[in-house]
Amino acid sequence: MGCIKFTPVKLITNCYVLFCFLCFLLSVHNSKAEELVTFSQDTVRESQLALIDSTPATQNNNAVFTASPLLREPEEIKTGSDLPAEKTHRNSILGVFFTQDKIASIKKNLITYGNNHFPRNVRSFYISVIENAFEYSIIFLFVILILVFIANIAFVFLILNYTIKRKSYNEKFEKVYRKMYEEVLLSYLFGSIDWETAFLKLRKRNKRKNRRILTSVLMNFNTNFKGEFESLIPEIYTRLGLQHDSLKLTRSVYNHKKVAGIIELTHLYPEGAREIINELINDPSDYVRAEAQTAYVKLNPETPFSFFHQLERPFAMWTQLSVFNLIRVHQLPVPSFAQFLNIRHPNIRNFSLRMITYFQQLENVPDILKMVDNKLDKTRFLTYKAINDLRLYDSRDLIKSRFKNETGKNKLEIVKALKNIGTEDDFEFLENVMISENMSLKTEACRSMYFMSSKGRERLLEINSQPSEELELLIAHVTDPRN
Amino acid sequence: MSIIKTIIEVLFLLYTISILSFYFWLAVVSAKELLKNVRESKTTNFDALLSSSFAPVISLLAPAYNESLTIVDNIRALLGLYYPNFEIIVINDGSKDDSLEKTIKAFDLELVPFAIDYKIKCQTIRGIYKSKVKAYSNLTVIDKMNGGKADALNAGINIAKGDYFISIDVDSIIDPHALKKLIKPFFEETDKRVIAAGGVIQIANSCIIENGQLVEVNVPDKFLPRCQVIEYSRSFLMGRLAWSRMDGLLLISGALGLFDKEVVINCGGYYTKTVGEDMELVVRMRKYMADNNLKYKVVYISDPLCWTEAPSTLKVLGSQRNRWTRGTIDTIMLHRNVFMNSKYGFMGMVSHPYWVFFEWLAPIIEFSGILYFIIIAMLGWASWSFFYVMLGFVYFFAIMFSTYAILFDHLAYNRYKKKRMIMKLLLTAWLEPFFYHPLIVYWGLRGNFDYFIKKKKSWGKMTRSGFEMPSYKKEKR
Repeated sequence: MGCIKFTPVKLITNCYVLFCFLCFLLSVHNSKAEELVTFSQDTVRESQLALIDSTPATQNNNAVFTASPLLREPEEIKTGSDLPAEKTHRNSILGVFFTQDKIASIKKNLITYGNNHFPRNVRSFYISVIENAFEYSIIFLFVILILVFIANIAFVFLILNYTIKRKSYNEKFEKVYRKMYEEVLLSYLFGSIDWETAFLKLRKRNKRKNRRILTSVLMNFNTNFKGEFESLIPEIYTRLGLQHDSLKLTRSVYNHKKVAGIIELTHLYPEGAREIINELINDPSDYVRAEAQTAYVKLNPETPFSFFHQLERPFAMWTQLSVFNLIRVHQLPVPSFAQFLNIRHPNIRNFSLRMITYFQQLENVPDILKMVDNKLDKTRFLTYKAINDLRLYDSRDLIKSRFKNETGKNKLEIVKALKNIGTEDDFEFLENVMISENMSLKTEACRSMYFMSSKGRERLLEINSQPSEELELLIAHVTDPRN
Repeated sequence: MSIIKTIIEVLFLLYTISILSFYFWLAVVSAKELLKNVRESKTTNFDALLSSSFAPVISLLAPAYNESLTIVDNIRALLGLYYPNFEIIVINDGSKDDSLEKTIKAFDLELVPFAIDYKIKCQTIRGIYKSKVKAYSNLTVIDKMNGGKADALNAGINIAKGDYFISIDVDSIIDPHALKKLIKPFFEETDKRVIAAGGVIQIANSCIIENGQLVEVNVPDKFLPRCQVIEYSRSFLMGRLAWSRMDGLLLISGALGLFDKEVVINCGGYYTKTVGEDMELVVRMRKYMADNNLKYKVVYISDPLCWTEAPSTLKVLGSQRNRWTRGTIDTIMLHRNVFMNSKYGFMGMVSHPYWVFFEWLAPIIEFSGILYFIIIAMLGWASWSFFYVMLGFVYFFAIMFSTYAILFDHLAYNRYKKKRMIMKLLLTAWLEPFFYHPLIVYWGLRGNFDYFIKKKKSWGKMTRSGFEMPSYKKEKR
């Protein structure tokens, strides 16, 4: 019992499911009551008619009075709960599904469920709701709900009114303080004022909101200023003690706050960031993990990818792009990516193949060629691409031998590769492709042949000596640079 | 008789409770997703994608039929999208006006020889046009025989270079940042293959648009488009986001959707014999992935990425809703084997049944309820106190739901900066159930009638009046 966790959404959902169920039960309850009223009224009318019929005409006036107590006192008609169970169920179709015993047992089960699943302080309220739900009419419940809806609408009105004002106030607040902080800090950075003056001019710097603005201003400066400012900006950040706020953010339960903290620390307080990043590179949240991995690369320029060996989850393509951008922009030294080709995560393997190609790591050729036999289509595709981009001429026969069993996309890549690494010996292969494969492959084969060498062009003209409309179109297609 | 009456009444009550419960559940899940998306978007940095040579090629497919008035401006707006690697393919679907001629002239196009690989069947392509000007090197115009929107998209897919394609309505305004935002989920997901992504569609009536770009957002002046603003907010912010989170999304709007081209080709492209090709494609793609035991995901992005003109006349709106209903029925019928089929997981057990009961059958059941009530009222069997309470219950629930949609919209996007605009929307929310909702029910019924009785398969006329200026701007002019 003690270890049950209650999140607001779960609690709301639980309550709502319960409400629906109660509505259903009450509808059953209500229908039964209505049925019983109808049934009782029918019985009353039948007996009344029977009485009238059996009364002699001469006694009619008196008879009315005799029979009328049943009509005059309809309030005496018994409700469902007072009537015997068998009568109740005979007239209610739902009685087929639910007997009084069953309803009682459902009530009991609901109470037991509440006792087992709800927090101690909610239980008494819950039980009273259950008791009342079985007591009152469904109309009562709906009226309560209408009031709840109206209260909700009023609440939203107030929230809207408040947020409109608040948003506009916040915008103005941020604008004013951002401008002020930027001016003061720029004056300090450009030497117009000393630190003490600047510190005094940074008004309300101890307020949380203002500290967030200050951090944001410093982050902007850090992105836009280079040279001697690069060391000055983090200094201001630590002098103002803003790193404590960022560190606090990284410990937040909210992922977006964690990420904001990671970004700020990585840019402005790397020493602090290094301490926490290792714990976060395997964070369960994709969002936090991605940012932590990117931060790791920035914070460890000597061994930017050493975390690959510790990764428990795949290395997302989005992070790959961020990391690649970081390496490119900051011109970080890159390791030999062949060492990562055997890591169990396929997307690290694919990333490594891309990096080997981009950084032209020709020393890794033997490892790349092994990837031709990889199980994954995507890895083989990137291998063919690497063979093409690194111009691995000796691999022609290897990739041609794989052509037959490849996927359409990979076949296309093999044919494309032959454009750059192929020789006259490959003409026959390309001709076969132009005869037997689909239009995309035919076009690529024609392109490869055409641009491989002048001999390729001659060969194409030779084939086209008996004019073929299709070949003419293919040649025209590949020779138009816009296609 | 009373037994039948009881059955009917309990069924109606159960249906009402179920539909409201579903709405409530979707709203709670959507709120959570929206909050997550809005928070995460604050720290998302797209610089890496925008400057990367690894950014995948995205092909933008824009089918055009008789769009002569706006086509040039719209293509210009598309050319200004922020993404490093994209091509625009405009498909002239046998327009009867001078759409093609105007495009050729405006962008200096000429016919180029092109070997087309017909991976998906489509109507004959008469020619492919490309520009002589280098600045328009990423623009391709296909001229083909008329075959409808789905057929035009199939033609576009056949010549698209990218691994991903976006289908758009050429008359919609696409947010300049739409491509990078739409492609992001495809790169973030590590365990599943993202096969399609959609974004929030917004109403552009009365907004100020210059050179195909949205300059100022306004609440529509007319009542009908205003109702649609609330309707779209409810649908996108309190529905589709939840379906996306639960991985049960069946519909990516035809106005803007990014798709994995390989999966689309493998499952045969757009189905041309339906008027609901957007929903049908998503369901078929999901089925294809499930049938092949492939892990997949269809996602929705909470950002408003596309602005479209909402019908402002009853005739056009009616025609649009009629078509939507027929499209829904068609998809449900075509994929009826998904219904309650555990093989298709959440889609089979929840999404598809939801569409059957709460999208397709909703207007029929609602109308039957009204009819039933009229009959029992005439027979004197109605419980008026219960009727008033239920009416109040449903009415206030509807208003509460709409007000929350407006709140979500405001908190997430803060589009309508002035208090007056939000008040206008709130007032519309109070009136909508009386004036707008009955019309939607009627058009839903007409859609059913046209589908089952008249066997209608055509799109119907969808006349665009062009983005009208807000009233205060008109006065200034």
